[in-house]
Amino acid sequence: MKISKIMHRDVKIVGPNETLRDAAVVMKKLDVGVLPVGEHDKLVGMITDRDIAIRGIAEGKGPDAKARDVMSHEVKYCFEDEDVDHVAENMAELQVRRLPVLNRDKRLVGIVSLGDLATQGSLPKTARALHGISQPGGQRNQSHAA
Amino acid sequence: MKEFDIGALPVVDGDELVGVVTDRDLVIRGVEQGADPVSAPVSDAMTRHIVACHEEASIDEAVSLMAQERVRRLVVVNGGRELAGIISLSDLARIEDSRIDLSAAALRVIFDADGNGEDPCTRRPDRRPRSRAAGRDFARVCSEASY
Repeated sequence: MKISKIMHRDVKIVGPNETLRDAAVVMKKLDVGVLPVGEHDKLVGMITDRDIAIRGIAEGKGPDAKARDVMSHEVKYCFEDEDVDHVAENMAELQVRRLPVLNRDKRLVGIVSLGDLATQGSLPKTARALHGISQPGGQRNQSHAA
Repeated sequence: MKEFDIGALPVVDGDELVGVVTDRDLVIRGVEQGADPVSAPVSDAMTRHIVACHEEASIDEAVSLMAQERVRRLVVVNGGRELAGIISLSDLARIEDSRIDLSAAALRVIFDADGNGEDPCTRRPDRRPRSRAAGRDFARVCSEASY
């Protein structure tokens, strides 16, 4: 099964010049902890609630600081025509819970989570992915995936 | 949180456990409201409803409580209801000789409640538990009122 069959197409993004408060408002409204940062239809970063806490609040940055000041520039992603099982394994390896989905023109077309894989994909692989992200020393979110 | 690379901290007032604050709480209740990170008190952002288990509880029981309450971490209290520790799903995943069906329980915890990868040891107020802790003595669901 292709990722495009199970991904969420309705992806809310924030702009790099929007404020931390703007991002927090969206995170609260959508009940999510990570948002893609997009500029001119391109994915330029990811911002998580933890980024805001650790790179924002802990550094004394206020709610008016810009998303670009705390976002991760390095973004892990998958392509919409990749196989679900393959992406699940990649997520386990990368120890991330969510991945942006790009088309082959590198445009952001969706986002996929471990939850999507669990409910619509392959459970055993998802369990492995889950175990992967539960390893001690594992990265907490995709913003830190190296 | 940054120094120890953690996402949640118990909040105490003297010896009394009064809440838990997560990185997400700071963002969703602090930054979202435009709070000044230097001067806003933790109490403005913390969660007062604490999901706790007793330190004598078994691991099975802790996992059950996590699944039931849909949280990934539990505050652990002693007989005097004082803070004794915190236990997380990741802690449980590290137990090599686990006879617990952790994957099923964990999936239930994470994917029933999830959307976002945030990691609270507190239940979000807009989500009701599927049931109470059923009066079993190992597990106490400690409300604000009980502290």
